[in-house]
Amino acid sequence: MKTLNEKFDAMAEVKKHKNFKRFLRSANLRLRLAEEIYLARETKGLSQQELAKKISSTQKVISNIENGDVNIGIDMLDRLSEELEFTANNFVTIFPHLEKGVIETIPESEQVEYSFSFPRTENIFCNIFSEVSTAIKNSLTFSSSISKNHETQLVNPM
Amino acid sequence: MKAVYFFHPVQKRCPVKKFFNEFTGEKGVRVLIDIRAKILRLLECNGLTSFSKPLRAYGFWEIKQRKTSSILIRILYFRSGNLMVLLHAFEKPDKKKYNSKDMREVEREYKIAEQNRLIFNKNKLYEDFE
Repeated sequence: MKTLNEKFDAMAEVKKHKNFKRFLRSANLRLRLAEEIYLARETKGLSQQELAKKISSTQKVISNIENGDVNIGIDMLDRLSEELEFTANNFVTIFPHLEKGVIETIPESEQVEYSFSFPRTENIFCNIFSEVSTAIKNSLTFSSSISKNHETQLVNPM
Repeated sequence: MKAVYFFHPVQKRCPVKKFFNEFTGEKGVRVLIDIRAKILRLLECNGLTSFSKPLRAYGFWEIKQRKTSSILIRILYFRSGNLMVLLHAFEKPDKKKYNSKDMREVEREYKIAEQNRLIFNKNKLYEDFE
């Protein structure tokens, strides 16, 4: 049964804060990084202590990262990603805006696999647009050559 | 699934909502936004994340959050049908080793959450998280 008691709601009030969107984006980024590191560590069968030792850090630091509580430096990200053998896909999960760049630079063979697991509508639209524009170009070239031939025939009927 | 605050029928308030209402200032806002992001993430991924863990002895879960370099926050919740019920929240010092007094304090908080869970199962009173 739903009740309505306390009128003030700090959690709702934070949405009105001038930096709400920026802080939320930062929190979500830390959570995505936390999950990627946690999953990669579990996949490799490492404890937090073991991972910390491998990257010359402490278990507490790893725990803080996996709780999404800290903004890590680029040096720590480098060490963690190397030790946990991060691929481009891990970084795309952490930074979703990289997705476009990755699909453009990875080899064609991998693009098929990638687009199979993550359907990308914008890529499909790009392909359709490319095909349509090629078709239009071809048809214009064809019609231009016909009209040229036609003109040639008119000028030089012999 | 949606998140809700457990409503205590005797105290006439939601303990977790009251706990959140005590956060003030810029740092308080950042902590609340972090907690909010974690709760919404838990709803998205059905409870399996790196920042929450089950407390098997009690039948509920805890969300781990840092308040300052020396204070940690724990938010205790459990799942009832399609509801993620926020039962209780408390602060504890961040120490390398906890002494028996610290442990007793934490156990006391867990017991409050356990009581809240039993009360919720009986009365099913709650307020929406948002």
